[in-house]
Amino acid sequence: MYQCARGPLVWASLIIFIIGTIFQVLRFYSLTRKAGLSPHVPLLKPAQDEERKLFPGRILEILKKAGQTVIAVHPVTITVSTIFHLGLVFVPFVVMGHNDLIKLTFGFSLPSVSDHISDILTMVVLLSCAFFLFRRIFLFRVRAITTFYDYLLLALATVPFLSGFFAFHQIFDYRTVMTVHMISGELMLIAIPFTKLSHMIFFCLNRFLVINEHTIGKGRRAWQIRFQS
Amino acid sequence: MTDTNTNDIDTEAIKMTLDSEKNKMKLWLKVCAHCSLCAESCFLFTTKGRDPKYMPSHKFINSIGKLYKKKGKVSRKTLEEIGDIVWNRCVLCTRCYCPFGIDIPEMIALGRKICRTQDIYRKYDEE
Repeated sequence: MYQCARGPLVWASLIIFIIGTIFQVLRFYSLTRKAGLSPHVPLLKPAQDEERKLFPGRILEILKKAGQTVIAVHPVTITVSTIFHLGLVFVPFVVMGHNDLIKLTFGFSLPSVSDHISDILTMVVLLSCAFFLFRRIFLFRVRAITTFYDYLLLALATVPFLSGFFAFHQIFDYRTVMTVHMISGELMLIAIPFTKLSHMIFFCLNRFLVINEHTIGKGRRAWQIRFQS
Repeated sequence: MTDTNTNDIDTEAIKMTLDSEKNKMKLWLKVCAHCSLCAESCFLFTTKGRDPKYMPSHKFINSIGKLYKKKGKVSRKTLEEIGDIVWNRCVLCTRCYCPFGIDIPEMIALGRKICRTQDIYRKYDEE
């Protein structure tokens, strides 16, 4: 099991993840079309906006814009969520142990942080996981749309970090914990393109490329409409 | 799980409409992370005592989501409940926010289209 998880399963999950992601991106392009003229209408744009603003002015402007978004409605959730998602994606790349393996395999390594810092980062991710769990259990409106599947996905994201934490601190049997760590990480990688975790891919595509009131980028695509009557 | 009486519903017609938009709608249903961040963007949610029933996600999960889950095989009672959601709990103001860019109004609009084919329309207040 241990040998299988550290050898062929790593490659299999990586390949499935990459192919699945490419498939989902292609699917996105087949479900959208290039939109014609930009339907963006500059909203609430005062005339004095044209003049060049100094740095503090620009910061103020960004804050003002942020104040009109969901950040102002749920400042805590958005902050925790941002930290959690950034941690989820980037912490595995800066852990020293992971980088040693990358160097062994590919001959190069990415910048890594010290063990102490990666330990803190892992704890931050774990605490945010706990935040989401409590939110799901205790907030009535989140509970109203929560299914068992949501808990399963949260577990899928938590277990690789929790087992990594246990492995680093040598809690429980090291070999077992490492097996759980590797298999859960591989499962998460496989699950990304095919489950609700695909929101990782579609967040980038939907929010940056599709024209929408809340577009972050300069969306130039629109969803295909196939309504039949 | 399945509704018992589907006799007075043209489930084939519903299924055809569902199939015409299947890929997109199923993708949106899948991408929804059930985060509830859409709630405050709905003016009905904020004015109806913050009842989760008025959350945009709650509305599409229990209307279009339910229809796809049951592949259009629903009873009239269920479809009337769905009708209540798509006609009375949403005004299609198209202002809902979704972190994943799900086009919720389009889902509700599809729900309305399906209800129309089965003679379920908006009921106006009787005075």
